[in-house]
Amino acid sequence: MSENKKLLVDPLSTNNPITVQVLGVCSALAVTSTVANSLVMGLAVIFVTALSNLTISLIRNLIPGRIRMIVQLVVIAFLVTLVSISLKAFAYDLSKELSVFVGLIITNCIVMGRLEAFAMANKPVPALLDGIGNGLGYAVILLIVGFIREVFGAGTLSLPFVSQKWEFAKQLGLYDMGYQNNGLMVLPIASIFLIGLLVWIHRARNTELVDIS
Amino acid sequence: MSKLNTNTNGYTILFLVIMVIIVGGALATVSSLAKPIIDKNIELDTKTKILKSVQYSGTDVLADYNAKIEAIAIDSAGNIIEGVDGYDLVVKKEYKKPVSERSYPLFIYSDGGKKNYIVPLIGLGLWDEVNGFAAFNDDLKTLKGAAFDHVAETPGLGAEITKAPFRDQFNDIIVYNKKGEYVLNIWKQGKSPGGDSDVDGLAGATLTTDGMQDMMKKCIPNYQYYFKSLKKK
Repeated sequence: MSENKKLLVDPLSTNNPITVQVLGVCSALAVTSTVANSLVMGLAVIFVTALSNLTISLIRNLIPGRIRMIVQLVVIAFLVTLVSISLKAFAYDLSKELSVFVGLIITNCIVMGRLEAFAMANKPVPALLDGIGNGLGYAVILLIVGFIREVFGAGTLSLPFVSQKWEFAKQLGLYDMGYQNNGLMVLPIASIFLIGLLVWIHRARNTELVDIS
Repeated sequence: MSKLNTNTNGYTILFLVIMVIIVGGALATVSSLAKPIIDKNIELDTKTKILKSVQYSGTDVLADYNAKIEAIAIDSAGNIIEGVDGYDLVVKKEYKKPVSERSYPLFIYSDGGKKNYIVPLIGLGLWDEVNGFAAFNDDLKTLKGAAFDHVAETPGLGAEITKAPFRDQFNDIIVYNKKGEYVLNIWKQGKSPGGDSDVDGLAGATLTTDGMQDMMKKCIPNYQYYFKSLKKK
C-alpha cells in the first residue's frame, strides 16, 4: 500500500513532472492565464495520463516491441480526441478558450514519458496510480501559476463552468486607490519566470533535489 | 501470454489492423453522437453574437433570434437574392470568391418598428481569424453596437476584443459621415483623438487591433449599394 501511495504522492513534489523532470512546460506556459483554464487543462491531462497508463499497462504484453511508440501515440490521441469532443459538446466556451492546447496534450511529454518509463513495465493498478499522480503533479503547478497570473494580471478569480468571475480588485476598490494590473502577467512569458521561481523555491526547500556533483 | 511471439511481421500487422479498427470505430461513434450537440452549441454561439451586436440582454437567444431577426442575402450590386437564408451562407467561403460571385449575408433585426442592419465581419487577427457582427442603426451611418470573436488571439491581450470594454466603444459610433465617406477608425491604444468615429485599440494587441480595422474597412463597404437602395425607398 505504501508503494502505491508513493506512486500517487511522489509526482506532487520530489518527482514533479514540471519542476523536477521539466516536462510538459509548453502547455504550462500557454494555458495558465486564468485559474479556470489551468483547472480544466489539469483535469484533461489527469484523465489522459491515468487512462493511457492503464490501457497501455493492460495490453503491455500484447504490444509488438517494434511499434510500441506508435501504439502509445494512438492510445493517447484517442483519449485526447475524446476530451476535445466532450469539451466542445459540454463546455463550448472553454473549448474555444483552450483552442489548440487540448489537442496538443497528445505531444505533452509527460504522457508519453510515463507510458515508456512506467506503464510498459508495470501492472495496471500501479500504472493507473502513477498516471493519476503525474497528472496531479502537472495540474498542481498549473493551478499555482494560473492563480498568480490571474490575480496579478487581471485582478479576478475564475472557475470553470461558472461564467461569473470574481472581480475582487474592482470590488475592493483597488483601482480607485491607484492600483494597476500587471500587464506582464497576462503574457505567456510570465509563466517562464513563475515556473523558474517555483523550481528555485522547490529546490531550496528540498535539498535532495539539488545535484551537487 | 508469455509464449506469444510479438516480434513477427504478421503479428505486428495484425495488431495494427485490429487497433485501427477498434480506435477508428470508437472515435467515429463518439463523434457522430456528439455532432448534434456541438452543432447546437455553434448555432447558439453565433446567434448570441448576432444579437449581442444590437446590445441584446435577454436570455432566450434562439427564440428571440427567430422572432426578431430576418436573415437575407444580397449580391455585390446590392440586390436581394431571393430564397437564400443569410444564416446558411459561410462568410469565410463567400469572401474567397471573386467579388461578382459573392453573396453577402445580412441580418435585419426588428424591434418595435425600428430596424437594425447587422453586417457579418471576417478578417485576420495576429494568429488566426477574427470575426464579428456590426449592427447599423436605421440611419445606416452609425452603429448601434458590435460583437466580436476570434479563433486564437492571445488571452488577456488580443482576446479582449470579445469583452465589453472594447465592444462598448462601438455603441453609437459613426461609420459613414454626412458625405457618405467611411470614417470609422480603430487607433493604436492611447492614440485615439476621441472623436465620434474613433475607437481606442487594445493595449499590447496592436496587430489584432490593426486586423480589426482592416476587417471592418473591408467588409462594411460591401453593403453600401444595398444601403443606398434602402435610403432611396
